[in-house]
Amino acid sequence: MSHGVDKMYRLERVPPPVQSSQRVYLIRPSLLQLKTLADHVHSDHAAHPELHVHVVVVPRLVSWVTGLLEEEGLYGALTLHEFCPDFIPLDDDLLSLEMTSFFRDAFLEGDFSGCVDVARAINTLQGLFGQIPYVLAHGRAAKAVVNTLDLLNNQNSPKKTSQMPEISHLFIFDRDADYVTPLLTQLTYEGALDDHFGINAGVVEFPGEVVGQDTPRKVPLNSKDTIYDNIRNKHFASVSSYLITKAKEVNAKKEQAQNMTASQMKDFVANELRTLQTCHATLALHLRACESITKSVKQDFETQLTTEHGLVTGASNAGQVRKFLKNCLARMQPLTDNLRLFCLYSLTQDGLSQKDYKELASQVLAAHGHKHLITLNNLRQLNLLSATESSTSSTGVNRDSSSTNIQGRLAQVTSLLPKKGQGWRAAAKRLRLIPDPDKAIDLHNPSEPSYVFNGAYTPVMAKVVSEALSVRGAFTQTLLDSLKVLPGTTTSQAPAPGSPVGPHVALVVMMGGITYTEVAALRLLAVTSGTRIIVASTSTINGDQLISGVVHK
Amino acid sequence: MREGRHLARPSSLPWHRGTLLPCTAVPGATLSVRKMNRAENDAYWGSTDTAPPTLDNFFDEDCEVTWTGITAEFSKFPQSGPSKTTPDGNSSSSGSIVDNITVHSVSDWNYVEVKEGRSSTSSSSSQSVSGVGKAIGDKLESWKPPSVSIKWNSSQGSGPCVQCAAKDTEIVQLKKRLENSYSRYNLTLPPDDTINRIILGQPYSLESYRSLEDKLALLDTALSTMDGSAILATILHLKNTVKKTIFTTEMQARQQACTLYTNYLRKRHKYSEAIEFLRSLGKPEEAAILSYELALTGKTPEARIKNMEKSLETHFVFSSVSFEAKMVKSHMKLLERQMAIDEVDSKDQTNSMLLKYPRAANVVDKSLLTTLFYCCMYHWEAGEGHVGSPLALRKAHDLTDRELLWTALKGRARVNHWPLPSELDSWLGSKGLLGALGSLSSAFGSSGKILPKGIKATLPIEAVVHTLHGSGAPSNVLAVYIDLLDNVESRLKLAHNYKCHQAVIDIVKWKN
Repeated sequence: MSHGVDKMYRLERVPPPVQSSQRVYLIRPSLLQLKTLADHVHSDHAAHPELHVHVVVVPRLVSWVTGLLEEEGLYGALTLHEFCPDFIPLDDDLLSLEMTSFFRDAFLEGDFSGCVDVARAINTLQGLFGQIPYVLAHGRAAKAVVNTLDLLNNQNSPKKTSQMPEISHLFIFDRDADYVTPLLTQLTYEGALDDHFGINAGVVEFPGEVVGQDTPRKVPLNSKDTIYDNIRNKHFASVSSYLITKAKEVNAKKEQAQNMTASQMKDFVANELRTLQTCHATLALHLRACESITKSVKQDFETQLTTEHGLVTGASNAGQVRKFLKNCLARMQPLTDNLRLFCLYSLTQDGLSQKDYKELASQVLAAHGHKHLITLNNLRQLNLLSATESSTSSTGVNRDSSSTNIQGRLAQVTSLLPKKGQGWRAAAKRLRLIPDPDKAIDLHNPSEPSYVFNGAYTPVMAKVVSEALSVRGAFTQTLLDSLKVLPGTTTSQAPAPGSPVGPHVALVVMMGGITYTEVAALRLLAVTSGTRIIVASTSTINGDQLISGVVHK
Repeated sequence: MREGRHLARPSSLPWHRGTLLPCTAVPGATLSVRKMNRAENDAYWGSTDTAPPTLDNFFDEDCEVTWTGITAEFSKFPQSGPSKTTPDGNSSSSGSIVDNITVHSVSDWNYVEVKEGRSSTSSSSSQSVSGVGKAIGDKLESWKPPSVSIKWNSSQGSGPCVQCAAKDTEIVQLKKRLENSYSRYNLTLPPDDTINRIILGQPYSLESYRSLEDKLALLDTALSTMDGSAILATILHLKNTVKKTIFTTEMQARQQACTLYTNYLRKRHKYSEAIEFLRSLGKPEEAAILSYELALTGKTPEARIKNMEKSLETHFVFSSVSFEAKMVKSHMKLLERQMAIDEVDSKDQTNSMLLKYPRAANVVDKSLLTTLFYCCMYHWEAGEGHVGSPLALRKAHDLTDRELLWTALKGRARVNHWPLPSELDSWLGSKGLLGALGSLSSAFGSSGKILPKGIKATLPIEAVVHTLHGSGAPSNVLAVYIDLLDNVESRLKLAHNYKCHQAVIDIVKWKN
């Protein structure tokens, strides 16, 4: 091993054997991991008092780390370090902090400490590219980032801040501003790859059947591969035809070689043959991947898509959706798939009636186990699920008697009424997320970001960024007003008049994970708006990861 | 320490006897110490549950609160060793979670250096304590904490001053650090200053926030930044230093803090404390769910059932969680049945299905539908009196026809049995299932054309045929199911798809 490390271990309950005088733990600031670490140190201490333990906390040494170590009597006995990796570039235009637990930590458990790390990473970028003049942030986490960013800016030397900005816009959004996007089935090629094989930190692990060998192989996915770069954001339906056309071109070139003179041949072998061969291999790989995805999609894939898109556009009949969902549950389809549809149903209906909720919830528990009562509770905390006719009359022992008086009954009745201007449907309408169904959409040569969902829905982030970038200068009041329909508050900053704003480059940050679908939509937006858009997030995410992050284990 | 906390209204306290020593040496300091009869003290605090868990601190002993007094306190440290020990010998295990700097730990200084190297810009606090710093500067010359002397000695050992500049920086850093450590007991920094220090990873101390007002200001400042690290540090400071009723009242007004704190307790496996906290906040629903989560951590199924029973009695008593209570009861009932089934099946030597298809896993802790699947596999024929009978399970838990039919189809297919719609129908009993799976189809034979509308209302036949085909059902069985479809075209299409030649012929014949 390099750097003098003897051996690396995954952190487990049983401590690794003591082989040298020093040991380094590399951990996230998670209490459970820390407890394991503390147990290790205690159990090794008796036999190996000389063992020196270093703890590297990634990305930040937070108060409960030192607190727990102190409680364990280990504070001072260990050497603490912190390591902040900043943004990790997954591609030229995609940055990630790989904080995969951020969504759960922040939105479910109320721990927004990761925002400081995001702010630090943005601050590093600002150190390199200058202070970003236009800032638009929406949501709780986004606000925390902006606050911390201000704090860090005050710590910076004035020299840095006076640098000519190279990034003009900073957008920060919370995942809870748009739950619908991750819940929908991804339809871009990259999104489909993520849904089916899982892309981790820009690397996909293809099973043996796709790579044409016995064992799975990891393949990095980025713009360095020009063929992949051409197909990644395409609608899945148009990928294989593109690949086939390309494959024919390659074959044609190879055939040309048959009629070449000796010198032409020499030139061909020296220059072109290699590229053609790698090209051929890549094309074959992606064709097999396409095939594998097509084969593995559920038999009722089309019904699934129609149901999803019908829910979003409001075209489908709620009764039919319930029936479809109940069948999925009775057939014990995967838990995350079922919960995705359940949440999507609840969100798009602006909450379910108590009766519907209880019926579907009990079927979820029957199919997947009663312990998911906790999962359902988590989803309700996140507002991914909600049952109207709120049961907020909490200490409800006396509830029945209290509701006999007229006031009580009145309150019950009014709580049943849909609240004006709230809920997902109102937001979708206000932000015009659902395109006109009569306007035809070209999935093969898209011009609108909604192509990622067959023209049924535009991801919130793509919509807002596009609105904001369409106006030169400060954000319009109309835009700021329309954001009020989303949960959370908006923060915006604009530079003093006359100060330099730099070229049209936008940094878009998603707090709580970004889907490849959104990345694709933003890439299209970059082309249509003539802006360079760099996307950053706490991690990349898909619907299954979003849900399984909050499933009770 | 505990006396100090009640300084706001000393005269009203019956046990007030000690002398108030005003702090004279340091401007702006808020600390003072009284002494009190320990027996009285114990009697008062011992009788209530309001006592904060850790109250031992430096100032339980007689001490003068002046700079020299503090120095005298510090001079005791070398004897007390590297772990954090208070002068009177009581180590404070849970109370001092918020401390980040300790003057006497060598490795601690290493950590401090790491931090300093990174955040090289001047810390805001060094400006605000500069007045104190001057006073300390003189003291520094005559007195060095042990760790500093170690460092100086070791570096002097390496020979004449080669890297003077580096050493000067080090000295400056150490001085600053020392000033900070002095200030921790004597100076209350503005809350934002302290919170920013926590966020930026600089050393900080919350010890000096003694008045309730100060503590709340600190908490609110932390909440406004939303940094979990700062919020939790201030919550724990508040919790450890005020009595429970005050803590609860103040937390109640700060919901975000409650979520964070509850989850902190949960992750520390302090479930009962979290449950009690949620209840005191007036959130019985959340407390109930958490008590269920705690119940599930029981090691054996028996223990889990017992836990659930207890949690039902104490927490699931509110009408707002009646649905959840019903689910928990159903969970208990299911676990009991699963254990009974396992008891029977693990000993059973006669059940031919168990011999032919050895059990892959114990049925305990599986979901309701998986249990039904298991029962359909192994106890299909069993009468309702048998514990493993699918019908008994159906009776005990409100299973819908859809759930029953899908699971039965799949469970039977697993043992290479594909019941015909008529068979399933009689299995379910005629009641309520007239519309389920072609109850009439048997009466009309395979050509059952007059089908009740309810068939498709229960199961999507195309999906059923697909599933049956996937499980290897023979084509004559598929034909019967295909026949349930109303639409002739889709019947023909399915029959073609799944190569049911006889069905194709029948359909074509019927069409003509």
